[in-house]
Amino acid sequence: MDNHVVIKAEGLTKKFGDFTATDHISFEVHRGEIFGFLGANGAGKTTAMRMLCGLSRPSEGNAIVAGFDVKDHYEDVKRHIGYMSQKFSLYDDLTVEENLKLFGGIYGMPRKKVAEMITALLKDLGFESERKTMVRSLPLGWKQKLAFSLSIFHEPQIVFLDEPTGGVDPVTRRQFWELIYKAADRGITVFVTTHYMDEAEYCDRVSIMVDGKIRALDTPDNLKKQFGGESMYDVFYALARGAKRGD
Amino acid sequence: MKQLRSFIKKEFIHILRDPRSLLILLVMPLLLVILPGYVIKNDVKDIRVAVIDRSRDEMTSQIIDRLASNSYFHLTDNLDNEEEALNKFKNNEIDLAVIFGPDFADRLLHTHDAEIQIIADGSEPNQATVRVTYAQQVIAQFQKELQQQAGLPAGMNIRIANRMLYNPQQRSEVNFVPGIIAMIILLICCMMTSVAIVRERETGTMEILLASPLPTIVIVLAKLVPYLVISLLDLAAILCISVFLMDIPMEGNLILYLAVSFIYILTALMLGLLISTVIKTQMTAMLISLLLIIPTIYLSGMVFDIASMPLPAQIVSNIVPAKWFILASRKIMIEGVEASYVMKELMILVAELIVFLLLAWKFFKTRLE
Amino acid sequence: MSIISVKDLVKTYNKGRTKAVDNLSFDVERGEIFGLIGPDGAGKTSIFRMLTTLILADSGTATIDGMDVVKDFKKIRQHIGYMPGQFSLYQDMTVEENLAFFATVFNTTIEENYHLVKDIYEQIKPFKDRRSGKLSGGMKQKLALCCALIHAPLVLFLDEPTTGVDPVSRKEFWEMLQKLKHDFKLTIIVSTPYMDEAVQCDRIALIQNGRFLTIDSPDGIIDKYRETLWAIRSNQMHRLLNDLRQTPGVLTASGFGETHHVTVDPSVLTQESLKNSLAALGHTEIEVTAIRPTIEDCFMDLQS
Repeated sequence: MDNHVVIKAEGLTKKFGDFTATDHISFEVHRGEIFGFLGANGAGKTTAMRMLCGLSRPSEGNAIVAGFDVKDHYEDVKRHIGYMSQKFSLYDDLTVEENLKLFGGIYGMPRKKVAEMITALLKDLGFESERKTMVRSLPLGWKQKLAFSLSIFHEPQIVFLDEPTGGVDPVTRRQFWELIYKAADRGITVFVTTHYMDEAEYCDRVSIMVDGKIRALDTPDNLKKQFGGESMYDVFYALARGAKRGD
Repeated sequence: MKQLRSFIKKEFIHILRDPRSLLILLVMPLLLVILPGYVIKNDVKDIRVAVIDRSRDEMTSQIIDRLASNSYFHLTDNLDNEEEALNKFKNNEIDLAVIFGPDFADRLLHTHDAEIQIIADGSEPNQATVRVTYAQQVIAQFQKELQQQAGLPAGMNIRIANRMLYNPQQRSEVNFVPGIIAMIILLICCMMTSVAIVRERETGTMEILLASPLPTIVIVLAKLVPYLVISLLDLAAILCISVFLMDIPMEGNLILYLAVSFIYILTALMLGLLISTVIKTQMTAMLISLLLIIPTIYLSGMVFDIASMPLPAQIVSNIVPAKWFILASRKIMIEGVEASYVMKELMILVAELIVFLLLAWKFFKTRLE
Repeated sequence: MSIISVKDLVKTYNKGRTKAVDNLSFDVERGEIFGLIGPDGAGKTSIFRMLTTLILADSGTATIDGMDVVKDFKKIRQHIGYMPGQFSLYQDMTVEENLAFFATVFNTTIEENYHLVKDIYEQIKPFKDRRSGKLSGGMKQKLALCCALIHAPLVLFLDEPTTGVDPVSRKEFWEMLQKLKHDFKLTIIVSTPYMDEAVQCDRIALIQNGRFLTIDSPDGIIDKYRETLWAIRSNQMHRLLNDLRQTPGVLTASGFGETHHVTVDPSVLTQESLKNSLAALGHTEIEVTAIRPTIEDCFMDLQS
């Protein structure tokens, strides 16, 4: 982690009619940082994340992501980020290798380099024997690990992870976080949402959204001090309990 | 009974709150009937017309002048006989031939029964109808002015006889309407019913319904009833439009026609039910239903004459329910036959209905798999 | 007699190639909350569907209040409440229409069993004319629970009711379940991938790959844990994990939020010796505490 800012949101706002889903949020994320983006259901996390990924245009404010502003240069933003969610990750009816080749192709990487990277990646994950396996028949934990590797396959500056470990078994969940650490060590910034409060502890800094606004943003230790809780769960509970809206 | 009632009410809520369903169920059927009959009348201009003048008198030359000077018409030839006109039609050199009978002026003034025959190329029936109508208007206008100028008696009359070539029984709507009704019923009953059932499976609500004491028969009936009602409504609307607006005849017994339609609707509903029992996603249900539309259009006799199809197609056409419904409809609506003449068609429909019902019953699952 | 009794249940898919449920037996007692705890794909949903008569087992038997899930499926369907994993209500119908519809489906009325759902339904009553698709996640869940309760079932089956739900709403949901159990002696069988919810259950089965790792009360499972378990922290948490794994005598080391949980061989390592070796590696603010394991520790131990 260094001081180079890779995400800078300023007064980022999204309104749907007279409903303000995301309400003037401002924050910075540094290169190589693991940034936990927490909030209750309906707090506006997903909307904020969609804006940061260039998928949704802010109603007010702006954000610079990977050096491009999300309002006008969202295509450039998309090219320099990775994205993975629990719901959409891989094509079930393609093999592991086909999925990897496809994404290499989508980001216009040279074919030879892709082939080399696939071999290295599968070795890294211990998936060599699954190269020709249909993704459909992989266990969920494997799929999630593969999907994450895929989302950083094109060496993006930032990767956005939307509840990446939901429903994954405890051991695989931890292996997943080790992949996250490795990526962060390589300088990739990780922007992650989760409902597991122990995972919030693994983040360098955590923001907690309530009713469209960021109510707290600091390191887990400082947050615990600030809100007098023993764990991130206590901090989250203290903040989100007062939430007025759900999703 | 209470379960069934509230389930049916729920089905109507689904339909009424979904604008797309309403569009398909209520608007599309009417458009399908009205479009071919009314709207797709191409703008008819530059009608190429040839005349055969067997009188060559004052009156006929006046009418010919009027045709020639009318912006819609383009006078190409002055022919001697019908033979020549037919050749011109064959070579697509003319759209219309106007033939004046002998002694036109004389008969008009004295016996009041002068004859004009209009022959049109009927291969494009809608356009042909419009072209003939235009020609008739020109003649009628002439006749009206003549009466006023010369103070001729009101009984004076030019008899206009129209003839369509290539398609003597020309009125396309007459043949078309039974086919359209067959298709609409298939769409509503088959597609909408199967989609409605499969949707419950996709959204997971079927899981709760199956895990409840609700009898299977209630689920099935409740799914079928709304589409039965809507099909009948559509049928009534289409019949009204056809008979009152489009002058489609209803020569036979209306009750008989409705009875045949009712059986056909039930057959289509069972087919929809059958599809829903073997299909897992709404998308597939819709695709299968649309695939069924293809044989309905091509093999039912709606568009193409079955007798002139190759033998395999003729054989396959026998299992297309729409074929029998269309046959029976035409017999009742156009020929005005009695019940005994459509018994064969009716029996075949009933047989198919029973087969679909038994298959659906066999395949319908009281569990998830 | 147990209200649910399952014996040697087997369920396979893909013509026997995938074993979803692998020879499981268990009993659920009247009035208890029984939890099936395990990751996605462990076989939880298959078990629920077999018990709710929605799918047939390959072999084995199961009874609910003495009724066989195959032979007496019609009778069983009158006496169970089921909330599938996916939100399964009619999104185009209002809150009240949904509840009234499900009441009729079960041959009852809202009024007849209102006392059961009262506490929960009152919370969503202000939105009774809103279409259920437009409700927030928490409210949808409450409505689904009301619909599953409206016919006063003997047993309530809840398949992953809290998946994807934030910690605050999860806590609220469990409070509702505890109240149902307390007020109406309702038997509840619930599945969840969240290990921290285990303590809410009277008894739990930890499940992985179609097999039970263990069945007991949460305390019973924790008591059976044999390893020596320490919670450790230092100023450099991430490096600490790798350093711990390199330390002789450390059997496993995994991140557990604010601390790392480490199982050790006590004949090789003492808390003091570990502290010293970590300090030698440059760690400061080192804390090592012997702790009582959590269910997640137990799961990971049994899983390996």
